[in-house]
Amino acid sequence: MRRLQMPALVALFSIGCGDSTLAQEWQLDRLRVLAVRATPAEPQPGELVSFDSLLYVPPDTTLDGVTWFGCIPEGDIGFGCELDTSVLEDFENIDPATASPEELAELFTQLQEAGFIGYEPGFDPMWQVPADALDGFTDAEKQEGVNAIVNITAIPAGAEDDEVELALKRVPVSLADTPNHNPDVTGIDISGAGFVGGTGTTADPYVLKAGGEMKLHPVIADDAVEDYTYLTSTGETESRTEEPYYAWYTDGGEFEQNISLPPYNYATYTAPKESGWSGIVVVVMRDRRGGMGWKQVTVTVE
Amino acid sequence: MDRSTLALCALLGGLFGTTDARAQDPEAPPADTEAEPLPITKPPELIDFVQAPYPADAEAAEVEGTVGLLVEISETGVVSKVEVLREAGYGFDEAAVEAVMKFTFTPAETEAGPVPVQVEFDYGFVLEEDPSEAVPPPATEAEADLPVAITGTLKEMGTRIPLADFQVTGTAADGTVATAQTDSAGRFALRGLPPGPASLRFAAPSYRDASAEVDVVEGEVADLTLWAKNLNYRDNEVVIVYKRKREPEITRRTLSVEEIKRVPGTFGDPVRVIQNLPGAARGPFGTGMLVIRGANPEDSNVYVDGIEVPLIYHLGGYRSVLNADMISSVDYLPGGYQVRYGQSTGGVIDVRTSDEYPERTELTWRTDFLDSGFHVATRVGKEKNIGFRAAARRSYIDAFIPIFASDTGFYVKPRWYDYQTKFNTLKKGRTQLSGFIFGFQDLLFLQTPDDFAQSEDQDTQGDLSATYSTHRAMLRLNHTFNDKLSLMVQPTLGVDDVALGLGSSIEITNKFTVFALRSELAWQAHETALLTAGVDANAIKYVIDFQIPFAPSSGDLDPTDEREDYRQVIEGWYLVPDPFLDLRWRPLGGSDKLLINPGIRLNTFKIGDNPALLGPDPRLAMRFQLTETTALKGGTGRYQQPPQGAEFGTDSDNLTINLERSWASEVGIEQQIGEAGSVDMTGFYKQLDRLIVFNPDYVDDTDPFYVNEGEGRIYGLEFMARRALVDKWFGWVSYTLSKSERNDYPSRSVEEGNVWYDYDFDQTHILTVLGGYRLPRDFEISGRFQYVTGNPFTPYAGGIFDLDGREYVLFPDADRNADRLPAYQALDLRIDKLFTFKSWQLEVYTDLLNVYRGENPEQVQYNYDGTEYEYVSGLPFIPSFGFQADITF
Repeated sequence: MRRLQMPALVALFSIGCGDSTLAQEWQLDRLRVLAVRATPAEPQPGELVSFDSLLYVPPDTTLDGVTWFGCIPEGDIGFGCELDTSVLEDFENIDPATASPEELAELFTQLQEAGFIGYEPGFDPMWQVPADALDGFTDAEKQEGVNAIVNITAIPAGAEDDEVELALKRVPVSLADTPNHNPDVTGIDISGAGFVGGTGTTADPYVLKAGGEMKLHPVIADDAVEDYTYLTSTGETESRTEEPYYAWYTDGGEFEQNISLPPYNYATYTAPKESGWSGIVVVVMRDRRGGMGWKQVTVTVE
Repeated sequence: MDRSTLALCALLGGLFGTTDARAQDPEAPPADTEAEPLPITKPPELIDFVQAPYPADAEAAEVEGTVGLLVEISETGVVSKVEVLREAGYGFDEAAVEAVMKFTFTPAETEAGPVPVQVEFDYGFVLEEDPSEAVPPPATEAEADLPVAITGTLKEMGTRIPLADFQVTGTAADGTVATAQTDSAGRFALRGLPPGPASLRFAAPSYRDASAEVDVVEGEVADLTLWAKNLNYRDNEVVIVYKRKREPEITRRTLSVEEIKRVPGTFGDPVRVIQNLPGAARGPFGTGMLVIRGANPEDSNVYVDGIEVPLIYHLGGYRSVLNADMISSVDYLPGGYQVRYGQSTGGVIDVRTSDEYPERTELTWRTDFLDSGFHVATRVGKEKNIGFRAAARRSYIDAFIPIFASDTGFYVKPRWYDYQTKFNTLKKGRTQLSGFIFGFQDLLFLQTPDDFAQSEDQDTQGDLSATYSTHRAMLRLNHTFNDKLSLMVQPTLGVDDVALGLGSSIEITNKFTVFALRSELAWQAHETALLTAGVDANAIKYVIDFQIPFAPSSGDLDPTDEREDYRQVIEGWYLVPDPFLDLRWRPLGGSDKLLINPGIRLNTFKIGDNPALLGPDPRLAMRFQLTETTALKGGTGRYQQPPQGAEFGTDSDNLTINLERSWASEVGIEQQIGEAGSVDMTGFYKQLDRLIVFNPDYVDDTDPFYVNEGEGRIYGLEFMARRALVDKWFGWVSYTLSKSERNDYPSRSVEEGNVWYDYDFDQTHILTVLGGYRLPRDFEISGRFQYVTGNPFTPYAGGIFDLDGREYVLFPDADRNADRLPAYQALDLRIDKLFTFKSWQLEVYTDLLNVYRGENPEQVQYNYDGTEYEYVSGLPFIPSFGFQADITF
């Protein structure tokens, strides 16, 4: 039997380093689903959950719609819910203005049975957690809960099947003593020589120096980082504090890296060199328990 | 003339002329009976002579002597008794008795068989003169009356070898000429030169002329050393035509170290040269892994003197773990190897260290941009197989990197060291003992700035360190019972350690303690048949210690799961006691014209309380020498190997998988062309089954995670045309055309994965053209061109974004491994220059890798969402400089 060999990571130092030309994760240059927030973040069986999302739609793109499906899968989640998407075809063939209430009700029932929970614009996504979602679980298992999955499909106008943007989101369903809540990101502070002024709103965007370098700091609500209890595998109850992290995005300029972690939290950003450029910077906060929060600010180069 | 004792000699006083061998039939009645001893039909013959140390008292007194002995030789040829008949005093008697007791003989024989005998034996002690001060005798009677004016020693520069049988000429100012021929110690004596200035001169076709000016003084003898520079030193290193005893292994390519040390791109490392031979594919860049005939690197085994080692290359694959000067040959067996090697379905590499030691102590120091090291070798006594050698090496690139990377906070520290020491002892009778201790350690340390997020996981923040080490200590005992039976026993003790640490939360260590025994009993059962029974056994204790911040999961990782420190220690033993039986049959009267080599090996693998996995490997190889220069070869056989590493899972007491298996066949032809040329062509086919793959029916831990459902097939053609290094140039062309395919689920439906695909290590075309040429003034140039088909990879086209894990789950765009990287092609050059001084040599070399800067993609890198990819190239043009100093004492 051969023993474990030195991890292949040793090749990392051998391969010649060079500048990558690939699109980076922080670059907003096409239709993207950046974040989805479930409210409540950790529902109980029988609760009604609403969703809102953060999408980036490029200026040259028209969004036809966003479909939402939800389910509680068995086993590994793979690509999320196994959906019978033919129901969408039926939905598209119905004209709500002329269809009878019975037809609409029947169609809606079929869609719900297929996992359909919303279509934007028009039907805000809502999901009723099955009342029997945790039936048969032990008390400890009910504390830990089970993950429901929500599949999101953003459809640009005239898109082929491979041009849609797909995403999935976990929604933990449990009877936890300390259920999760979505963190609240209230702002983005900027510091550094590249920052000139402004408040980041559309009316008063942040003004940056062309090519200037600066640090961006997420500003979060006082209760954004929660304390909670966790039941260990040995049956002990531990007090824990969330360890969130931040993902950064922009449609202009450059970030040094995609994410930032406590205790530093900040991201280093270089503004575009084109004077007069205007765009956005987004930060998405994840609390690692399924909760999300975000903030988008407007920036411009003087 | 001074005399000093530097050597001893013993006089065998006409052993057979003065013997009074009296047969002593142990069954015969006592001597006082009337029975007559049987006549000796075959007298005893001395096999092993033991030299007695010269007694200190006698040496100090400059006394010589001869001890008369009566030696009793048993029916097994062992000396059973020694009696002093004529004493010589001064400690000679005791020294002689002790030495003779260790002699071994072939037994004397009568018509009844071997019998004990007594013989008389004179053991003499003679003082010899120091050859460095001896005066050679005059060549002619006429010279005998002439006074010696000049004595000296003629030596070769750099190597300090005394030059024998060369003429030295001395010319006095008045034109008187004296000549002398150097003796075996390089000594010469010029006679009859008158007092005054004289010129000495030496000239020979293969040496640069040497001269010296000497003043001859009446009544005195001038002594000097004359140094001659060899015009072609590398001849000393040449293995003229590497002829190896023909073995039936179909495709054994044994490289002579001196021939291949100068292949460019190998940094003078003989083991790296394997990558230029047929069947050797390019391994993943920077890993140093060997891909042999399209097989997974894990499927091939590497041995050093028959001891299996887990790795043969240091970090990055630039250096093998053995100093090149320790190596005498590298056996590369891509397939068709015989039963002394097992537990693998791929190829075998057996690196053999040298059992020969130089006449004079040699020290070599080698330095280049990666590391520095030394090697020393010395002979003990006069036999070339008795001696000691040692080597050590340490990299230093880790010391330079922080200097250049300190401003960024990112730096990587690769470091390695290795050491080897070997000895071969004096033969004691028919037994020889040798020992070999070696080891190495590799360390990789990656540091990032504190505020750099290595991932979204706090538990993975921090520096990365990875350490790998191996140590082995081996003893080898060779004993010859008689000319038909011999035994080799080789126990080995070793330790392997692998440690991986990331930040403060992740630490994984694997420790293996290895007890190995290789033993072979060879019996020449008939003049045509050599039967070898052997065992290749390993007992390995393993301790695997996981400390990670989450419990390992067989399913998808949930990024929203709570983390809980997880620690598990898995320990136990696994045993590999493989016996084997090998027959080498030369049915045509024992000649090498036809070799038939059947064998069988029982691959055995037992871990914990699980039942042993048994896998018999019957194999057959044949070689037919069609003509003196043409040989046909063929073979077929079974090769099996146990599960690897993680394929055991974490529950080693519940082994549910079996040995992986292959059946390999080859047929080939070898053609010798002239003294140095050869052409070799081999076709091969290998069928694999019971390959270990993920179980698609896995649901939870009650199901096995792996199953033996996979199959594979590897087939192709290998070609090699080679010119061995016999004068000024060497080279070879190596080409492999091959296909390596797999099907993970051949018994299932297409939807369930019943698809044949190009295996990850499939490289269709592998072409290497290389050669070297010696230029005047000790320059040498060499070059290598390689063209290799790119590795296959699976293309992706987008994916679904996991919002919680912040990563895309990618969709394959086509069948597995449907695309390929562009072909690899590179030209490497090497230039050597040898400087020779009186007592040492300096070789300076430059390796220029990837001269025309081919991009040579090594892997594909996708962007974050799998919609774009780019190639990641290997190292660009690399100039490498180094030097080697050789000192002979």
